[in-house]
Amino acid sequence: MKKFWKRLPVKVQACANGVGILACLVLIYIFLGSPVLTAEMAFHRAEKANLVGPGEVLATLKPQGQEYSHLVLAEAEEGVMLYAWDRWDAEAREFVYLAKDGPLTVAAAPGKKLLWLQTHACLPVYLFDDYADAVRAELDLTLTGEYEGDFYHNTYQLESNREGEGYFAFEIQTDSSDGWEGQRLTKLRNVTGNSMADTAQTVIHAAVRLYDANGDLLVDTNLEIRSAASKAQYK
Amino acid sequence: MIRVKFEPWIRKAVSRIVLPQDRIAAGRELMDHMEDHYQELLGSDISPKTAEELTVKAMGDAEPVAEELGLIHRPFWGMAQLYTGKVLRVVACLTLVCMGGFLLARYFFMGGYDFPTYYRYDPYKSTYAFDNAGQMERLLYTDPRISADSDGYTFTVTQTALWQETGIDGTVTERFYFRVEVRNPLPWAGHDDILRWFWAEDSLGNRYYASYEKGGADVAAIQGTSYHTGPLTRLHDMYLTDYVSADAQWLELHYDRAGRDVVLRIDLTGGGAA
Repeated sequence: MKKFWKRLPVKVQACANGVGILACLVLIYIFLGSPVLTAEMAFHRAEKANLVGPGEVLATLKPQGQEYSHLVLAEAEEGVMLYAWDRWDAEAREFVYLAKDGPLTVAAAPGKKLLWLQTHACLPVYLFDDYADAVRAELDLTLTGEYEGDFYHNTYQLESNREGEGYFAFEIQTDSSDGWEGQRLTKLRNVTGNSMADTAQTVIHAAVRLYDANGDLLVDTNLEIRSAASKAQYK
Repeated sequence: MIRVKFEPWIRKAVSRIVLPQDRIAAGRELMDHMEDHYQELLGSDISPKTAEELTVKAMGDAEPVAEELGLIHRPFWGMAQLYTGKVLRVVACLTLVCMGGFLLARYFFMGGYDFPTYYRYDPYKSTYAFDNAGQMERLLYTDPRISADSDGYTFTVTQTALWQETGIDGTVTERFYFRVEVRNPLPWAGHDDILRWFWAEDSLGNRYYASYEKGGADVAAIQGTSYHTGPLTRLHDMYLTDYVSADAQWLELHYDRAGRDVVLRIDLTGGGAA
């Protein structure tokens, strides 16, 4: 082997060494678990793994009070995507794809934190829109249902100025110590996320108003937010 | 014959040549040249010792020769071969260390890769079982090996099994199991639960909802668990709840989100009996 190597021209030896170095670097990358450098890279990888996309990243946010460090918002032709990513905690990562039903799509930030155990629960909510002229949005979310024999009907009135192209970001903050509000917010998260919870019968009503830079009303519409189960079973 | 006085001069003259093989070749050439001059001087009735000294003196100062030779013997490819060889040795050692770490983490700390384990019976290896809840019998087993590709992933239905379970109260139910192996040649292209978005329908028009489309409702659906069975593969161990396809000819698994159209048709008539 050594004789064969010595007989090779110096140029060939140098090129073979180069190829060997590249091969070793690839193997090192694989043995280290193929880490990604950024949330966007992780998102594109997750996109392929979930057989959706390709999507365009709208924003990479760092939401407060969540168990992950980054939330990537993205949009594709037929749907919107949210990817919760944490560099160190693989359990906290979650990819959500929502098919678009029209120019407006509402989605709660994914997560596995048990909201009903939090006295100060915080749930980011996003409105994906196709109205480039809209600079301000108002979103009224009405959650109705029954929990442990008690019926509830809660409306959260949210408003936000546009922070990035293609979406508005809101936040629902609760300050309840009895956990019921956390249960309701969990329902919203389950409806717009990947969940096998009881959401087939759940319909969340949303009123959306968008305003342009002059304060004129651009859009005033009502939406029904339904889970994948609800859409599949009640077409 | 070793000319003692020649060697220090030659060593200095070749000291700026980078590649060892070039240093040796240039040194030999200089030695030959000095030897020729030495032999000429010997023919003029000069003592060997004096001839050696005169030969070295005739070569002049070694320093400018070293500089000149260093400039000439600096080939790009030779340097490239030298330095890439050194880098390759270091990187190869690093690779071995990382491989050791990977194997240790995977097999010692994580217990290797996962494979399905069953509580009551293995639907693919067993043919009959009974327990306090009743008795179970396998009616059909196939290994269809049908595949479909999407986004670089290959989905293959590897095994199916149809079981009949007779409860102690006499109720009879059927349960259909199937395994889907998902493979991607890129080690970093893993996934966890993509099969939870697959739904199914049979030739009679019965629909089984995807796991994420069940939403807690009492509807027939696909359920199951995924296992990381190898560096490039995941095995999804699935079954159909509320199986109603006893008279169906085939069952099709579908994935149709985001413009994809993955279809896997499982023949329900073929295969050997239990």
